[in-house]
Amino acid sequence: MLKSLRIIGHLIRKEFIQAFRDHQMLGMMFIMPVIQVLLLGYAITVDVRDLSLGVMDYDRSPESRQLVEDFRHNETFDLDRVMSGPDEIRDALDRGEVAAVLVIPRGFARRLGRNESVDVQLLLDGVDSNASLIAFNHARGIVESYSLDVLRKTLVGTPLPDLRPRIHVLYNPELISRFYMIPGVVVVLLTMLTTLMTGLGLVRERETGTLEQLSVTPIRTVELLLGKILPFVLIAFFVLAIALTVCLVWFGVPMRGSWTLLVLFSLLFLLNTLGMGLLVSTVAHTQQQAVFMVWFLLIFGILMSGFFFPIENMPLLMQRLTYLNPLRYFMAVVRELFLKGSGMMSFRVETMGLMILGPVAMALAALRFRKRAR
Amino acid sequence: MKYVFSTESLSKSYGSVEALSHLDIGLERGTITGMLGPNGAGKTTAMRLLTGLLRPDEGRILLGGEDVTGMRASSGRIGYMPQRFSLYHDLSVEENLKFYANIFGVRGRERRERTEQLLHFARLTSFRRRRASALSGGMKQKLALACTLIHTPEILLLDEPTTGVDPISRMELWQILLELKADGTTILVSTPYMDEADRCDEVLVLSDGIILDRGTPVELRSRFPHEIIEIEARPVGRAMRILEQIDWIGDVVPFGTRLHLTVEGGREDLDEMRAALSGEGVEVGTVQTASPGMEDVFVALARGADTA
Repeated sequence: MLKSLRIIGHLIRKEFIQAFRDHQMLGMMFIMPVIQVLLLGYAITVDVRDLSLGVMDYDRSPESRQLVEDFRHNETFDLDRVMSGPDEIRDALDRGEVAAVLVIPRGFARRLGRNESVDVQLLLDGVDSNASLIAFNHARGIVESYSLDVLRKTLVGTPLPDLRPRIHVLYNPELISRFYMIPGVVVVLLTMLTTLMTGLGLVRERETGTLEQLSVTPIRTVELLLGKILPFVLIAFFVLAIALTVCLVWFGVPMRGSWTLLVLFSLLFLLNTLGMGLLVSTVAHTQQQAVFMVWFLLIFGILMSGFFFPIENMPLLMQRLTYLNPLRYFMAVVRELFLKGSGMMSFRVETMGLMILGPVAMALAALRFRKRAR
Repeated sequence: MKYVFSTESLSKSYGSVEALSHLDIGLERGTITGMLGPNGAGKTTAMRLLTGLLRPDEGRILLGGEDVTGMRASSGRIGYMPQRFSLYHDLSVEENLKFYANIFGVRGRERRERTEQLLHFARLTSFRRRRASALSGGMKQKLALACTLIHTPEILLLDEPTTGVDPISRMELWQILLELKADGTTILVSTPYMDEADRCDEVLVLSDGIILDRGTPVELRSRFPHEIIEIEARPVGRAMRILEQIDWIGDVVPFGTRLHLTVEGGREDLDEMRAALSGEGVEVGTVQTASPGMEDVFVALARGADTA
């Protein structure tokens, strides 16, 4: 036991000497997380704002101008262009110069004045279906409240029933999507770094031949694997600390949960990514292959983690498949810890998932490693 | 017991290719055994079987009378230096040595002394802080050997330690091996270089996975039934073509600017040969009979195996 610990200690020391000699790599490890969280923190947002709007007002009445004003005051739209005819509308949409066009027909004010119903048209560029859907909902809201105002004016003096929603948004009252996305970016960063580093670590030793060398020494498989993994656990926590600092200090993301819980879950999650990396390194023959495999896994891992797209929106089969994705659990834990400050009891499924998948990956890697070595 | 390390009928196939067939070797304590053979003869397979990196299909390996077949040579009694010994290139000479010392549990004063001793031994003392990546090919091999020796193994298995090494380092490496032998270390070394076989106590000539012949260098040479004529001729290429046409000349093997001709005793007609060469404009220098070198022996053995 003591001998094992000593050997693992020597392996770790060797790994650190190597890491600190590679200045480029070291620089990347310090600077990469800062840049990534900073840039992605600004770039990755699902808020739909300032969609460029074109207006074709055939009526040019005070009433029609009022409707246009309502659109102008809404944050979703940005009134970019007043149009003069159907050709221009078509052109501007085709070229992507505007994302939406509001068309107000001639006789808009006159027909409203006569208590007739009027249609206004909203043309949407549906290429970005998500943004158009949001634009659509906002436009409908604007038009409906305009319509309600018209109704009120018409029925002055008559008491009207009124149903108004009172909405309280909990945890992220201003609905700042950044607060939701940035902790996610940190998770992605941690996953990438650790999977890739372990994935490459053993393969590099295999490529240079030092692995064969080590296999005719008294080192045992478990000691070797631990010696390879533990340095990355330390480095991972270091990177995590940097990334979280940026996230809290620069972006002001609130941390409402327990730090202890975050550290514990990070450890549990690292068991998963390091296991995955090790598994890759027992399958790959060259560092190139390892990078390719890690990429393949990461794309799935990230896209199916709920990072961008809510898992509930996926088809049932895909939803079930995400249970095999450790990122899914950690993503949920980190976001809820940050914004809700949830306690241990609300993470039962996540704990189970991470506790099963990680050791399974590790065990598979150890088995494959032993077999490959023969 | 006569042998400290031996094999009985060791065989290994890769698919349908038999890499090694019924290998019987026995290493005596404090001797150097050379495994001679061209690339693909099965030398590396033999080494990997002996270290337990490969499992044999058949046969046994005995270490000090104990059956160790298929067991990793991790106990420390055996030191193994693969053909491409891998140092950690981003570690220094000293750090590489220390790392292997630590892994083998060589510690404290013993480690310090052994490290100094080996650095001195490998003539690397003044390069101790240099990164392994910045060493020359010969220095790398010497460092590799030093790493293999850090735990003072009884038996040393070296797979082509001198391949791709400059002549001076090659000489130094062999000097080290001879010193080790004098200290009682048992050494098995494989090499494609025939001249190195002359320094071994026993030579195994390996080709296509079987042992063609074995014995001391002197024995092997004495079994060689031919005479060797050494001739200096230029240009070498044209001379070779002409000589191969002459019916009493067997093999023509180039040695630098000279050629070794294998001749069955009593049939040679040197005047005829000179005339044939000069007639084609080849400049002929000295012509003399020489004793067969290891390379001549090997070429003859390999040829015999082919025609058999």
